[in-house]
Amino acid sequence: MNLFLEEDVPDPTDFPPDTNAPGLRSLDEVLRCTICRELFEAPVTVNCSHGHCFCSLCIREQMNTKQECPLCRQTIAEVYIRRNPIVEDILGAWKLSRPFILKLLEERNSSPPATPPTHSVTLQSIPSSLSKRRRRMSSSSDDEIVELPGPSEMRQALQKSDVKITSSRTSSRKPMVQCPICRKEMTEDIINRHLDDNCKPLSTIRSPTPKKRKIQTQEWSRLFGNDSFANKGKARSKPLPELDIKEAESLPKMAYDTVTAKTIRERLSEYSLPTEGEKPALAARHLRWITMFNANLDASPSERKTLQQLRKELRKREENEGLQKRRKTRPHNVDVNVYEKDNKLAFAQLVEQARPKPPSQRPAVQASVCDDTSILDEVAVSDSTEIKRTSGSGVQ
Amino acid sequence: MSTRRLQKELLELKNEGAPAGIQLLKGDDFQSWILSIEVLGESLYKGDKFALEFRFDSQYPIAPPSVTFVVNEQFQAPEHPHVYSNGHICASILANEWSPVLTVSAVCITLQSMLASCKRKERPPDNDRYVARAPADPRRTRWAFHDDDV
Ligand SMILES: [Zn+2]
Ligand SMILES: [Zn+2]
Ligand SMILES: [Zn+2]
Repeated sequence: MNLFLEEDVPDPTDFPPDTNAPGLRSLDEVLRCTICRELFEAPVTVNCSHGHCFCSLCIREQMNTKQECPLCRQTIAEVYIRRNPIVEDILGAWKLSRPFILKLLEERNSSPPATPPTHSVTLQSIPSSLSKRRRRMSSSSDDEIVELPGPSEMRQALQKSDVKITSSRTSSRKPMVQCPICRKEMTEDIINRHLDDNCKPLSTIRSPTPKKRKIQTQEWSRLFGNDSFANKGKARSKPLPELDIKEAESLPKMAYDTVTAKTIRERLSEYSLPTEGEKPALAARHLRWITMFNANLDASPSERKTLQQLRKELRKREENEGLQKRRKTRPHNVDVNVYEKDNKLAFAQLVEQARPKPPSQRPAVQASVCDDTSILDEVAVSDSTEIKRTSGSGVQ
Repeated sequence: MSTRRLQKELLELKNEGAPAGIQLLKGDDFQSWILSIEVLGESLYKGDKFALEFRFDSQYPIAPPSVTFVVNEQFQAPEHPHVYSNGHICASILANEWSPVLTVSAVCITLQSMLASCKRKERPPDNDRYVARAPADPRRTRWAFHDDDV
């Protein structure tokens, strides 16, 4: 109908309703993140009592704003984000089978119902690897024979995702606490040291024993090939040699209101990220990088993006925002300053978040402006405590 | 994220239809949509039709859309204790209670119920004061949360 719908947007309604193709539409729906509506990417489970699942990047970006499960509003914490490898594996298989099944359905619809059932559906466009095995698919109308990926193909798809869990996420059974400054989560035994060190990256202080600490520092240098954190005096660090994303550890956030622009520039240049712009823009870029970097680690190692890919994505997103801002503010003559000015609000929010707050302090709605917001709260979550999407598997 | 998410929402509105009493009037770009909203059944607003303007930025759906009732020659803002005469709405789900799993149609349904349950047609007590100094984007309004002065 209009231009911007012409782009292909895969959606659960690509599948017929249950009466025609039982379960497929719901399957495609439950495998989608409720934040972005895409098939889960690096799916993770949060620590609400429902175990709600989101794309890692979606929920981490949301948690830069609010430590709350978007679906049930329970308080959640980044430290308890867990990979969901089984969902990731299911998606690996579903991404293979989705176009295949859609094609089958299309062919079923276009072929006359009188087609002899013993004759298999033609599948020229399906890669031969997918059509090795024949299987009977029980169908409500007839028993057409269709070709589906056999177990070996499934296994192949599944093997692509290594289910090995990174040790950093499971090794510590000690109670975790969140740094009130940088919000990085860590075990209790190192928090004081971390604070004394002005929120230095954890890897350098992960272990309280001096001997192990040395090993850890070496590990850091091996990964990043540079002792930049030791040479704090230098104005600018060189880009570090590209680290192996398969072995990377999650990065800590920074307390943006307590560090200087120079410090943020240093950190950015270590990852070969642009360092132009003033503090608000730098802080926004750094936070986004950290979020993308950490989300990427929630994908199985074989599915992870390279740093180069992450950088490209970051640039694209900054460009998109620039475009949008330009449209809003001035049609011409947009320079870095405009971008920074626009980032100031976001920056103020970042600073606000970084401030230590007692956990019980939740924004309470004041009565002065608007007397009775509780009515809205009831409406928003009227039927149950969960916010549900309105679509469901309705009839067409 | 915003454009793909909006495409999906639009597709859903077109494929499955908007919820009862709600109609998409304008949805041809990623910046702003307009939907009409009517309260079905018995209510103080029986027979009235209002229009809601949604404005999105690249942070959507992590950040809420900016939502206002359209006020022009054709439409007026409903007279309601949470709706200012300039179309701004004091609704927690558009501010601190926003959740990224909410959608345009979920917001419409919520506002529809807000109107449906209204007992008395009246403006918020501070209407004149607020309207005189309100920012263009209601999201810039501080809807008076306690920790603003921390
Ligand atoms: Zn997502
Ligand atoms: Zn939840
Ligand atoms: Zn196990």
